[in-house]
Amino acid sequence: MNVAPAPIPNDTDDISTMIRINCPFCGKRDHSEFSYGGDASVEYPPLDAPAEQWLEAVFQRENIDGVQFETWQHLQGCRMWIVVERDTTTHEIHSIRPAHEGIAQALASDKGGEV
Amino acid sequence: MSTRRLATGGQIDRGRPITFTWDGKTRTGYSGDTLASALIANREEVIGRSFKYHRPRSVMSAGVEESGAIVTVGSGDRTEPNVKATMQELYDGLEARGQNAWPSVRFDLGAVNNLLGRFLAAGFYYKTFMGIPPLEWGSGTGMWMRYERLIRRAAGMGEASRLPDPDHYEHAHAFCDVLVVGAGPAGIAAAGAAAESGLDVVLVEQDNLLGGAQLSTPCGGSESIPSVQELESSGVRVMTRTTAFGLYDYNVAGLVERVTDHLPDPPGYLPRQRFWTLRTKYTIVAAGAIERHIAFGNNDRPGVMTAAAARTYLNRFAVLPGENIIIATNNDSAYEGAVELSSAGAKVTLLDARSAISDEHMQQLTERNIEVRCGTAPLQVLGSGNIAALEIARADGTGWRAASTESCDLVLVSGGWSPVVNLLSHRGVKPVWDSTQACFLAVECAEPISVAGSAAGVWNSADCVASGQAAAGDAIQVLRGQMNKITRPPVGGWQQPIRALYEVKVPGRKLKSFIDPQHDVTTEDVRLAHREGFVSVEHLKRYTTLGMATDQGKMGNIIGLALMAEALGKEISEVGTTTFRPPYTPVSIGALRGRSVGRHFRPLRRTPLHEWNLDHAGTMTEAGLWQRPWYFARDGETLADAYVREAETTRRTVGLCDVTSLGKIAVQGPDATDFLNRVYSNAFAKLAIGKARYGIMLRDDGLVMDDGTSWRLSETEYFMTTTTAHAAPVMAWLEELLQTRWSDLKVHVTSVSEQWAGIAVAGPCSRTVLEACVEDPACVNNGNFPFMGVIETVLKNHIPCRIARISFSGELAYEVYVPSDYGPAAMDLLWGVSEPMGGCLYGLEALGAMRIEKGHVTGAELDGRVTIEDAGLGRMASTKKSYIGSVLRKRPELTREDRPRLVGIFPSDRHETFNAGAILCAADTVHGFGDGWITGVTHSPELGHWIGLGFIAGGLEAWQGKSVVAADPVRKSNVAVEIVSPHMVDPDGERLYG
Repeated sequence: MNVAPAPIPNDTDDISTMIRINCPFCGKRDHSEFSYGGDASVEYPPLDAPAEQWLEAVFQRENIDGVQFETWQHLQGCRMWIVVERDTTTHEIHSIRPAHEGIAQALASDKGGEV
Repeated sequence: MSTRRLATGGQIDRGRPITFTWDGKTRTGYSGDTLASALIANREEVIGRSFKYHRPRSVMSAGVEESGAIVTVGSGDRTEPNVKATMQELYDGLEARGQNAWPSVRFDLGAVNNLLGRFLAAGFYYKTFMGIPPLEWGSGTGMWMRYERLIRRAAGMGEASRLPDPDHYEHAHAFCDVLVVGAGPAGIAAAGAAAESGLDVVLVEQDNLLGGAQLSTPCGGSESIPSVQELESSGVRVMTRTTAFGLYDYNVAGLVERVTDHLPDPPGYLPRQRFWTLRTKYTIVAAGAIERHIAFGNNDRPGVMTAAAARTYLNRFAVLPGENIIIATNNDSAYEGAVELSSAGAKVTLLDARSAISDEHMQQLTERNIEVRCGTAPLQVLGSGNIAALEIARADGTGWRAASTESCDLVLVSGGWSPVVNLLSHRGVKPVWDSTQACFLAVECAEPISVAGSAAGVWNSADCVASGQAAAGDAIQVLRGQMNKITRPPVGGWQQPIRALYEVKVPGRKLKSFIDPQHDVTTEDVRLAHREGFVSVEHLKRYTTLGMATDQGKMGNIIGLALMAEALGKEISEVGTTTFRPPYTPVSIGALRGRSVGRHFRPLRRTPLHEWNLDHAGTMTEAGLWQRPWYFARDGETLADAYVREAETTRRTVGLCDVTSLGKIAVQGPDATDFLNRVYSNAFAKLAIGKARYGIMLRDDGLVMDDGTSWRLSETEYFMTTTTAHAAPVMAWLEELLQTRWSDLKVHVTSVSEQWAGIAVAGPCSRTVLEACVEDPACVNNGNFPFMGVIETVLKNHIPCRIARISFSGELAYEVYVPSDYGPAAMDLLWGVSEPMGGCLYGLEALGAMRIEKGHVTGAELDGRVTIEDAGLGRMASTKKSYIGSVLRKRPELTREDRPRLVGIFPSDRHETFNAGAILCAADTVHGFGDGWITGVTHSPELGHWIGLGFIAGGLEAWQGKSVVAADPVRKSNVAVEIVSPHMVDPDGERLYG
């Protein structure tokens, strides 16, 4: 018997992997153009928040086996920070959006306008 | 001595003879030869010496699995050791020689090891040289390390050149729809079918010719193989001499293209090799299969090779490798070769381990006068150097018994075929043992990868074509979504099934039967490993080093697994196999590094004043990626002379220094003030327009990130400078804050480091210099331009500029920034005034001397472990506002009194010198980790002796007046020092206001 391949979806704009990250501003680029930020789910407390909150935000991290939101910067490209929803075990990327909420909204309505 | 070359046939060009040297002797071959085929044609018998026993070896195969003919090619800086002669294309002037032998491969003194063979079994060295007195006289593993050096010299591979690689290499990237690995019948069919449906296909082939196994048939040169041009006109991109050495996540393939390894005089513009990163959507692995050996006595002797290899030498290279040939097989694949060798004039005897063969085959063979003996197998090769005879065993129940001895000059072996499943193994696919075909097959892959041809266990070339077409059908189905009917040929295809046979041995006979000839692993080594408890295949591999040579087990792994299974009383499927990892064949370090070598290893950054500095006798040094002036030597001056003079001159009159490498960031927007007030530890809310302020940035965790100045140019615009080292991280950090945390702030940051050239004008005469250089001298007088003032004005010759009155040297000083292209003109202007005043140009060394005198911190001190208090800058930490790091800098650990604090250091004997990096210890406890360390030292022209900066637990308060030693045992020995204030010159900063 030969190898029977499992079907994969066709290469579309919204599929990207660790090897290629689909920058919302530049398009698909090699991951080596990006630099990893950190856990995007961390809410940094106000600057005058109690030490416990800052300790939690700065030092406590989940070591997630599965899907997590993380920040990346397109350092060698547009320099924009993006939020990448990535599976840490398969490197599969489920979604990408600009980290800046205002820009994310503007981009979404921009794309909506085109359709 | 007559050659073995036939008068006709083969795919060599007899019109293009090639001269090459083997061990210094001139030999000839033809265009189209490999080094191996040419050596066989020239009747070179011994080509290599084995790794451990120094046994003579010769060509064993015709491919990448070669484990005998391993040679050194080239000379001088182009010496390439461990080249498989079977893969080296012949070219005019090629120099090849044997390796791991002295004085030569034919007469090798190291061969004495072979006589000691019974002592050199698996684990011998460890058992003998580790831990056994009296050999372990030394302490710990010290003695072992000594023996190991001797052992390594006796064993081993060829020796690499120690000269720099003269060739260059390239990295390249490519994309395609379908990657087809291997251009045999299956690969060519797959590539053609996929291209026909409009897919973008790349076909890679490690050989220089297309055709794969087809090349080894009598019709290898005919139209049965399409040309590269034909394939390319049908839309296939063909890459020959290219190995797909690894498959990686998400359809990334690593390829190495050997561009000039076959050329006598490679043109300089061509890279030697190209390292390709290929991104595909679908991969078809049609990498073929490798014929296995069978283990029997002396099966590594020159004159034993695979049956398929002999067929290749005969049909492709027109070389008859023997005249009196015995072929030993356990499957059908050897028959065609037997017929062809007989037709070419050899006497052929065929031993088939099976009890019977098909009538059709029997008829074919006997028609050619080939004697066929069923139920027989090779037992031991006889003859000291070359093969003289073969002792033959006859099947006896489930075992063997010695039967007869037959003279011969070549023994060909076919022990079955191992599909090349390596690339699937790279993707995590566990190969499954197929006991009917006696091979591992990759049966399930979750990724868009198909396997075709003999790589999928399909043995006949017609079936391979169908298998390739089916794989193309898979690709089309996945990529185009078309559902086509795909017909797959079945696995196998021989008339008579294979009889699994891994080793031939008879009771009571000690034989030296090799499994992994490259690492000299024998069947007895496997059994020894089993007796000693290394029963897992992973342990077996590591204990015996089976499969760890450059062929990575292509030659012998299966036999090793089979013998371990036999010893354990298990099936091979239960024993499993080790994992193949990339690369499939060795990849040169040169290809991996590509162009990232020498001056291309990392980017080179030059300031706009670079040429100007060089024109003015500047000696440059590296500061990160930057080239910065180090010192400006005058006649006969050394570095030490020059920097002392520069520092003295600057403190007395004026000095100019290129400070362009500082990071420069434009911070703009209505919330810019608020933003800076949050990122700097000191107050920025009330900085007036036209003023600059020194600022410290902390990280979230409260440690110091960077320091610099920010100049307020307008209500909404600041010009920030950072240290040279942290320019890029600070920029990314500000972007992160604005985009991920404070998206409500209306601020934009832009790196303008490249846009501005920076010149420090320092010293008591600096104002006089500026007055002479600006269009409006009044704007720089003390009243209009006080300490920490900022002006935007115009230098003479219409040079726009911005100037701040800030000082790193501790003198009255200014930083002048002009648009980069004006840099040299501005420098000409400033130097034109400074030079007649007795001023100087100064470099990084004098700059460092002056900043150490002043106790100013740089990257050497701000190393990511230091708090703002540690650096002696506690007054810069605002208590009236919150900022990044303001909470966590108060953690108990960061506020301990005994933390290392910045201090100045004097040698107790002022004539002494000491080194940066020395450890500071209390004079009575010079051991352990000490109490601190020295970050920077200089000769202080101002003080007339050496001084340093460093950190010591508790700082000046704890150590004032105490005896301290700068411990530097491996470089300079220990020096008695005193701890002083870091502000060693002008502690009150009076000069700044001059």
